[in-house]
Amino acid sequence: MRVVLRNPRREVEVAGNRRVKDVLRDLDILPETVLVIRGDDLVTADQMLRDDDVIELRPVMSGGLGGRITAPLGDAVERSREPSEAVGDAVERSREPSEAVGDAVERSHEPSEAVGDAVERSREPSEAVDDAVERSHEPSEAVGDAVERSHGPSEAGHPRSKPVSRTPLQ
Amino acid sequence: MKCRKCGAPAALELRRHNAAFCASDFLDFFRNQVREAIRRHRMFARGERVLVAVSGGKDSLALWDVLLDDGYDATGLYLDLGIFDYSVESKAKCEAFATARGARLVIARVADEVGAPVPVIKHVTRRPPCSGCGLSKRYLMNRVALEHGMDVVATGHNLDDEAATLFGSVMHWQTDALPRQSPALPSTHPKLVRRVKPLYRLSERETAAYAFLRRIDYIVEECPFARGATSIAHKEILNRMEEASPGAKHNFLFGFLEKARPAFERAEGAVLQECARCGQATTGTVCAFCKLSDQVKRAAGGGAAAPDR
Repeated sequence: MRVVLRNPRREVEVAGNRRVKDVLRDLDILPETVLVIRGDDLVTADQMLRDDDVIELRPVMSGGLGGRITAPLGDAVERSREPSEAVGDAVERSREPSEAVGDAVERSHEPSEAVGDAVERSREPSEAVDDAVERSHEPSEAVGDAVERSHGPSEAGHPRSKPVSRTPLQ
Repeated sequence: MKCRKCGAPAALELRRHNAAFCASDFLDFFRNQVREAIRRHRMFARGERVLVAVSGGKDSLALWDVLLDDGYDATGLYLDLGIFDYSVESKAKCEAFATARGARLVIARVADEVGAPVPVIKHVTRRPPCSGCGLSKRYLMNRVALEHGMDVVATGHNLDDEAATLFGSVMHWQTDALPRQSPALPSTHPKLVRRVKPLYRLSERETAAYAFLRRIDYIVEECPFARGATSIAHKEILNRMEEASPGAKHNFLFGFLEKARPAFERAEGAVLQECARCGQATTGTVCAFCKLSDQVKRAAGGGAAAPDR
C-alpha cells in the first residue's frame, strides 16, 4: 500500500490489509495530527486498508502562532541577550534533594479519586454532540437570535417560544 | 464506525466527543459550533462588517466559508508577509477563493508598512520570526479594519491554537497575557477594533476536515519559518496528552476560560493611549510596531545583509 506524506511531500510503502489505526501506529503518527484521505473521502481509524490502496496522511497542524510579545520589542531583544539570574540558583538547587519528592512518591501509590469518574464519562457521548443532534432538526439558534434581535429590544426581554436546552461544550 | 446522527458510514471520528459523523452531518456540526461561538460571545451581529484575516490556510478559509454561507458581510484581509514562495502560493489560494465565492479581498504588504518583509525582519531583530510576524499582523489587521470601517476582525484561531497559546503562557506564568486570551476581545479604545475567534470550539483536525469536505483549496505546506517554533512543540505535547486522554485540550482551554480567566481579567489594569507616532492604541508612548519599523529601517540604512532563505 502506498502512503503519501506531506511537509515534505514523500511516499512510503507499507503492508496493507490492516486497519488505519494500525498503520498510523506503525508510522508513529498520532491520529489527532492527520487526516487520512483515500481518493475523495476521509477514512476513519477503524477502516481496513487494502494492499492496493493509496492513502494520503495530510497533517493538520498549522504553526507559528505569531508569538506573543508582552513587552516592547526592544526590551525583549535586550533581555534575550542577558543570562538568566536564576541560573546560579538552579545549579545550586540541583544538588539538593527536592522536598516534594517524598510526597510525590507517596501520592503515586494512591489511586486518584477522579479516575473512576473519568472512566465513566469516557463512555458517554459528549453533551455537545447531543445538542448537535437535537439542533439538526431545529433552525440554528444563532439565526433565531439574530432574527429576534433584528425585530426589537434585547433578547433578554423576549421569552423564547420554546425553551431551549443549551449545554456548554464541556 | 457509524454516524451518530444518521447511522451512515462515518467520515470523521471525534474522540473528544466520543462520537463520529458522516460528511454531511459533520459539516452541520461544524457550522453549529461556529454559530454557538458567535452567539455565546456576542461576537458580531448581522449587518456588522466583519474583516476575516485569511492566510490561505485551512482555518481562515474555513471560517470565511462558514461566514459567507451564513450570510454575514465578511471581507477577507490577506497580509502578504513576503515569505518567498510560501507567500506567493498562499496569496494565490486566497485570491482564488475570493473569486470563486464572489467575496471582497483586501491585500496589504508587510514590506510596505514595516519597511521590509518578514525574512528581513527576522534577520534584523534576531528574534524568532513568529514574533515580528505576529506583531506586524496584529497591528495591520487592526489598522486595515479601522481604515475600511470594519466593526470587527475575525481570525481563524482554533482550539489547538488557543490551547497551545494558553499552555505557553502558563508555562512562563505570563499573567499579563492571560486576561487577553479570550474568544472575543472587546474594543477598549476608539482605535482598537474588537477581535474574535469563532473557531475556538473546533480542533484543527476538525477545521482541516471541514476544508477538505468543502473542497476548499488551501495551502497544506506549513510556513517555512514555523519549523522549530515553540508553539508547535506545545501543540505536540498537547496532542500526546489528547491521545492518552481525549478531551484534554478542550478541558484545559474551556476550564481556563470559565474558571481562571475572570480572576486574571480583574487584576489587569493596562491603560491604552494613542501612539505618538502612528496614532494606534498602545500601552506605551510609542507602539511596538513603530519600534520594530524603526529597527528595520535603521538596519536597512546600515546595510543589513540579505536574509537566509
